[in-house]
Amino acid sequence: MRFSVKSSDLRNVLLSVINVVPAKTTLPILGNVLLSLKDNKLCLSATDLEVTIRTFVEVKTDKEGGVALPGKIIGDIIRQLPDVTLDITVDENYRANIKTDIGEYVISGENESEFPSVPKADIKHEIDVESDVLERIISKALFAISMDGVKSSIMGVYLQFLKNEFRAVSTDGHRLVRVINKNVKIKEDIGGYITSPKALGQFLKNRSEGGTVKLSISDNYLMFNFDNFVVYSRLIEGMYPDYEKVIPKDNKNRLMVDRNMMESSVKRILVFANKVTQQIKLKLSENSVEISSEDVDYGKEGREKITADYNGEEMTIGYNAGYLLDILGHIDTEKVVFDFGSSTSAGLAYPSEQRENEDILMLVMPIKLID
Amino acid sequence: MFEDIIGQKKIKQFFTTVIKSNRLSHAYLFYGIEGTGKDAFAFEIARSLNCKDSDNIPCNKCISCIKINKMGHPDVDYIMPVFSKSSDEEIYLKKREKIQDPYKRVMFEGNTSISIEIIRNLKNSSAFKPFEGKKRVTIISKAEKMTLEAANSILKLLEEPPKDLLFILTVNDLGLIIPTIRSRCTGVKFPPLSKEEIRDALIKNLKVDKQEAETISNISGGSFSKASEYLQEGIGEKKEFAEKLLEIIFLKNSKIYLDFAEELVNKRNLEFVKDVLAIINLLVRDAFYYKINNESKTDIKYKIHDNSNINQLVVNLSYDYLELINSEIEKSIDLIDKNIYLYLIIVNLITNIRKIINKKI
Repeated sequence: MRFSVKSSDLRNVLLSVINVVPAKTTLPILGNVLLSLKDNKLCLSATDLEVTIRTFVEVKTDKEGGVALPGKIIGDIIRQLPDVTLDITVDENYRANIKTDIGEYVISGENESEFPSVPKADIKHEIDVESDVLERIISKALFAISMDGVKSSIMGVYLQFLKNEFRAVSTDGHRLVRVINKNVKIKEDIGGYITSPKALGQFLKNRSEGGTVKLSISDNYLMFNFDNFVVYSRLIEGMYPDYEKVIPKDNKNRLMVDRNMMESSVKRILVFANKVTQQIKLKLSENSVEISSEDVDYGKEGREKITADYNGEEMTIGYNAGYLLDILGHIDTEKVVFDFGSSTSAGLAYPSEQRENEDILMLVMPIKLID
Repeated sequence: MFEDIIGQKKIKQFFTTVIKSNRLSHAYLFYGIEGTGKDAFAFEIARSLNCKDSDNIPCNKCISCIKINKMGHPDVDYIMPVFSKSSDEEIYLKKREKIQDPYKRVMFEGNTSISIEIIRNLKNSSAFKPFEGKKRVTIISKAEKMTLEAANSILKLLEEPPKDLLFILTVNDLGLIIPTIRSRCTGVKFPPLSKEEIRDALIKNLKVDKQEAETISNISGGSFSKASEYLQEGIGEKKEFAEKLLEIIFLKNSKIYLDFAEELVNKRNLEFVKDVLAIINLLVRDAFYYKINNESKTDIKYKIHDNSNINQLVVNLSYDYLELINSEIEKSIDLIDKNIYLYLIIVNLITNIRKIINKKI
């Protein structure tokens, strides 16, 4: 295998692939980046077994082939190189010789066929989504996934493809986010897939604005094809919980409040809350919310009252302030709407105005207050 | 399938049928003494389930088999007890050594364990569907080395494993594994290999000459790892120690056996001492056969000694005493495993055997 490429052409693609190379692994081959060369196209890929990324760069070649080279070493050298042309030759023992105007570097690699390869499986479904739409849906939903490792099926984002309706759902058992976009062309219901959050992160990181993303689904993978990239998410096994069941339908007590005002108030009150539970109280009364917290152990307490539109029952509800801040941080309208049922049942939050064809809903469970 | 595995005909048959008809259980627990082919079986099953060849599985030639044989297959995981400070690289090299020769005793010597951290990582990675598309196989070798937390934490995974994941746990002693794990796996017993199987394998695989293969298979106790270890290190020194011990227990001089105990302890190698005791046991057992078969020397089962003195001495004892000595030795081997001070064990053993003998003589 032999090719030449400008360092500036190689740098960005290589660094975005190296990003996926795991720092610590029990499978040493994963420390490599796979280079394979065909039709003047150099394909670079890396995997940590959860997410696999693949990208291309045009190069000049007179001998095709492939090799897996240690990611850290080629990453470190490409970062340091000025703009020069690299002439890279790989011999049959997988030793790569990199020649530039300023010097020559040699590293040994591995046989390309020993690198874990995502099989070319049958694609069952293909869906085109606008990149910006997908970005919005994913970034709204990503924060609520479970991180505790207890139940694997909720450790990813559930992407659900219904007829002309694209949904992303995430939950960790205490809160839930459901984002629906009704402007995605899907011919028929094809069900849901639990997608690795790391892969979604790689999509968000490498995508550019505008354009379309082609989502391809096979038995074990969901693939994001965009720009020059393919990101493969290994699907998570298992049944996603029936989330519609937990969303209450008759929460009658509606609160509308200025988002910024509430967010900064919660942040201040959080200072006085117990560090472990992060518990704060919302006391709802006519046209006002009192936000308060106390930490008996350290003898601190805080209390603020903000004006709001509220006509429902008077009640006091306890929440984890971190969860409330996550919600407030992911709603982008000036005002935010909460629908409460009782002080012990799930509360719902939405933007005060939904965008066209879009429906964002966030659910948060209260903390039971002991008087 | 299973061509390179020594003996274990029944298990071969069982798994050939089960794999061909695709009726694998979700988790197997392989138990039996070391060197009976538990890990060798586990690797072969992993290769067979992932082989890309259609007729001859496992072919050992396709890329999937090659990846497994280099411990680089993303869907096949081999977990072994390690030190908490073992580096990934060290662990990887050990694993490779193991798969290249599954009958070899490959492990970190010392206080190793399978920690809850390892099991947590396993749980996280097992959430995903297979990487290369076929069957995921997770082999947990020496599963008894799981810490209690680790063992408890793996229960749920063993009970409801993801669809395409097969667990194979291997243990030397079934009693060391907690019952909640035992009940969640299909047990497969690996009996000790027969002497003939070991002898033939030594001749075929390791090109040992017939006479030596005969001797070694006699003392291997049904373990091929033991046999190849004896072959490598030679049994000469161990045998000398064993014969010497049998000699000195009949002497009245206590200084000599204290010296002997010290000499043995100075070897500073528990496995060495255990082997010596095991050989003594075989010598004593020889004497049994010798007596039973009307003292006709030709029928001695373990023909490892030619020292007629020892023969004479042991033969002088009655059955009951031989049995008592035998159980004393077993007890001592057990105590070594429990990490008791070695010098005490040996002195104690010699004293006890002397007591038994003195009653007689």
